[in-house]
Amino acid sequence: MEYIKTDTEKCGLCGGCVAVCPKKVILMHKDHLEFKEGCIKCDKCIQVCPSGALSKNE
Amino acid sequence: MNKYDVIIIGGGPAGLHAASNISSEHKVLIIEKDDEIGEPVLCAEGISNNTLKTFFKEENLPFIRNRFSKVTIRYKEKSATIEIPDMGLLVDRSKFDKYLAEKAIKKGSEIKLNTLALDAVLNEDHVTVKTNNGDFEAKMVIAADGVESYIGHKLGLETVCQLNDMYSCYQYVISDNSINDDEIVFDFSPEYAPGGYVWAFPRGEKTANFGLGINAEMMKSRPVEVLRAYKEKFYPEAKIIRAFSGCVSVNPLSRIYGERVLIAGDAARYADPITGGGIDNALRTGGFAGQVANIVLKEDNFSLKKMSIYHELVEKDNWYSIKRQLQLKKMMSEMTEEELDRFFTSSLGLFDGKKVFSSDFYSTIYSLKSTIKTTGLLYNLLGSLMKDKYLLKIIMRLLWQ
Repeated sequence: MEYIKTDTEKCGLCGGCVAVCPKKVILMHKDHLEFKEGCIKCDKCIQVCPSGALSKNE
Repeated sequence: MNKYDVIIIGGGPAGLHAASNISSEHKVLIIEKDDEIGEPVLCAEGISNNTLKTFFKEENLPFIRNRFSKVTIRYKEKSATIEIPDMGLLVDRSKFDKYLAEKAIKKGSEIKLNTLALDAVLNEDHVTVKTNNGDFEAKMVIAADGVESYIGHKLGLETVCQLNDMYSCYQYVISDNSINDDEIVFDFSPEYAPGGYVWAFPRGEKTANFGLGINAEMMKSRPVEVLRAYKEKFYPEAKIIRAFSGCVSVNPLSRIYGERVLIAGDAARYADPITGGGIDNALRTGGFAGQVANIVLKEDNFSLKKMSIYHELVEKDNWYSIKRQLQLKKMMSEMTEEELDRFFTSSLGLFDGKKVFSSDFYSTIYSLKSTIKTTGLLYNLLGSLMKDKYLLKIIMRLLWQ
């Protein structure tokens, strides 16, 4: 299971999470985010998101 | 054969303007992940008249939405308005980008839509760009892939943005009778947008791009929630036409070039550190990237040293002003609320009601700074105009930069 969960209704594909990701494991497609392997669970993507679309998968 | 001289990643202002600056004799490919140039619009769409005049000499520009000449700065319950004739305008970003694309195509560039760069590999005499639409080869790459830039990192550049350099934004397009089509509004009240500001940019016909940007490190509530609350308080009757999120990253990358690669626009983190405006610097850096591509292709030399011409050109052009803006941004983000109160009270008092004439003012803050500077100079000349020691300290800092 991926560490980060995306609420696709809320995600505006603005790219902020991609910019702050220290490992560059997020890739923004035209209609969704792809989380690749190598996440270090720093939660910066969750923190930066303007719409609260990202959360931990629990 | 999927071989090109230059592959430009990203069909936004930086990439498209770069393409227009590359000589027609070179084979240029622009790849764009979306299915249409200019869409979706994630932008507040404001540019200065100066930017327009610098980059568009031609008449009848199809992308102009609305021109404004008044700027109002709000801070808590205070506000001040100044008039700067011909100050700036709102563009229709969708039409703006399409206009730039037409120019690039006329120059001979090829645009591939629905094409996302997944990876890029530097080889001895070329770069391979892997996309969802097949692999392409080029002698060099211009990465203009926006705030969500991915490819610079793949080619070995340090592109991670720190939270303090990131503005988390949310914007509505609203329609409301209270909107003045001739006035842009900035609200720096820290309770709404810590480290950033709330904006209302008039689109004409009583509609506006109304949004806010919060420094991601200082953020307490999400922009989506803060904007909702702000609207209820200040534009309760406004009709929301569109709502969307956005992010602006500032503080240029430590290195914006590599062997066979140049980074331009938002991908190089070249948005204005105070206003967050990205179009002007996207056109500037994109233009230089195109010019440098001509040089290195002609000489067939893509070494790190040769590519560094790009850095020199960009720095010479605007590094000084960006550096000052970054210092001011840092200064403002480190101020306590009490210090901010004093800073804004003094600044607002200074320019309220003044009519400032200058076509050189490229942004509100620039004019604010210029006003402070001018007043600071007056202080030096007349000796005792200023009574606020704190403001004086700031003026002195600005003057000494």
